[in-house]
Amino acid sequence: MESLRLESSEDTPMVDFDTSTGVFKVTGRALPEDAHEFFSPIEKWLQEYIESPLDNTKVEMRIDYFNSASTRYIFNILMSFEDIVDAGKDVTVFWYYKSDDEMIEAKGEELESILELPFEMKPY
Amino acid sequence: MEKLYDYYKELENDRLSFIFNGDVSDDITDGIIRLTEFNVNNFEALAKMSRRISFIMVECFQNVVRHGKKESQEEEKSGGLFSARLMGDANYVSSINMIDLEEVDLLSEKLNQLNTIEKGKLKALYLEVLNNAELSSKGGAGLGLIQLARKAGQPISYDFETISKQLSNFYLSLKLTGNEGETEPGEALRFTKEFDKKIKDSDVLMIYKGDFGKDSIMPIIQIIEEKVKGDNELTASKGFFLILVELLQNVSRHNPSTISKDGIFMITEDKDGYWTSVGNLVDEPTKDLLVQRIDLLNAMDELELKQAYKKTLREGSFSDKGGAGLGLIEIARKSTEKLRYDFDDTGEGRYFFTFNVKF
Repeated sequence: MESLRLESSEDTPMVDFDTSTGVFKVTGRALPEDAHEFFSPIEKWLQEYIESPLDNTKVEMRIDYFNSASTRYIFNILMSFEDIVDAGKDVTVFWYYKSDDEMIEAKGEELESILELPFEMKPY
Repeated sequence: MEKLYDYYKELENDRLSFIFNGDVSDDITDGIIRLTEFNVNNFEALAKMSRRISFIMVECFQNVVRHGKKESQEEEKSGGLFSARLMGDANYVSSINMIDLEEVDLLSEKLNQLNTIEKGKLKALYLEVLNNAELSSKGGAGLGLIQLARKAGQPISYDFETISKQLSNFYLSLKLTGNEGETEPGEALRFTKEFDKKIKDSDVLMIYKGDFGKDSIMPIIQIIEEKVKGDNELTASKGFFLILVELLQNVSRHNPSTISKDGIFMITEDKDGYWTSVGNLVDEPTKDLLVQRIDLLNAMDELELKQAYKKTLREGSFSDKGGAGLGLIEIARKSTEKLRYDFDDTGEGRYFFTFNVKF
């Protein structure tokens, strides 16, 4: 399956889901007013990926800011990786946050507590 | 607390109002230009002079920086105020600075000269000052003011107001229209002075009224982000920034008409924090829904809010069923006091909704 790559913009993050390495990155800020418009192509791509995933997928989330509309989509995206785990493949989510950024840390912990996925908090 | 609806009524006929009260810095110029260019370009009569308006705003704005007395022992606030308002077919740009009293006479003389000189001679004056650095040393009309006079094509309205033994307020105002030279001297100031002064003397830090679509919200966010960077108290809470985004985007989400995304946004300083207020017109069903949701959130403690947040995230939106959406829950969790709201009846089944959140 071909990789998915979206460049970042002022209010949307860079998305780099590389199917040759299995490293899926979301980097930057997610504040779009119309979150559906930005995230639905990603969800669509993931639906297809889930059908035949790699043996090992590393999801690297490195987000500065996100609005509530994006939170829902980010949660949905992460939740779709649960299906891959259910199918017996490996997925790990790495949640990066600046060591003094309590807000993004708290968001990560919150997501970790409601997702059934291997989830690693990564301060930097 | 300042009442948002009162300001809204005063600015009701503005297509765009942006007023910044306090320390102005070059960092936020870019955001202000983007904000006004977008709005000016949306309006045919002024679109052709959009670049010129930007230029004039920058000069006016930097004039605040240049002449402003930063370290005043007598006043708590430093003296700057910058305002841009688009109304009818005109754009008003104005500023207030605190300057040394002893600068007043010379500045007044120079401004009078700029207003009375033949337009063709402004360029010669510009070159003269450019080649003679002494003339532009602090106190006189420097290159900035000459450029302002050249680009504006209108008289510069100005006034001084003694505020102490050492200091004076320097008012500057321009009315820009598509046609040159149709503004009377002093006309711009008559329109802007009273309101500018009122804001300057209030606890208001910033007011924005206008479109709340994406193209306007992002520059506002940029301005506030730059402003927040310089303020240690605010930088400490990144939540502040995020809640601003939620509040601003909330306006366009709850508008009764899908065409208009108009609203007003204000930040006011309080003795132990900041109030951010947003306001817009809503219809009756929206009003009832908002009251229900906000009351529901105000009745919850921290833990209950956290649970509501997780539940909403996990189970999807139940906001149509009387619960609050993620955005409102997020705002309630970050606010340091209970959420405050007001509805003012504006007739015809419309209400002006004010939403106040404290940080």
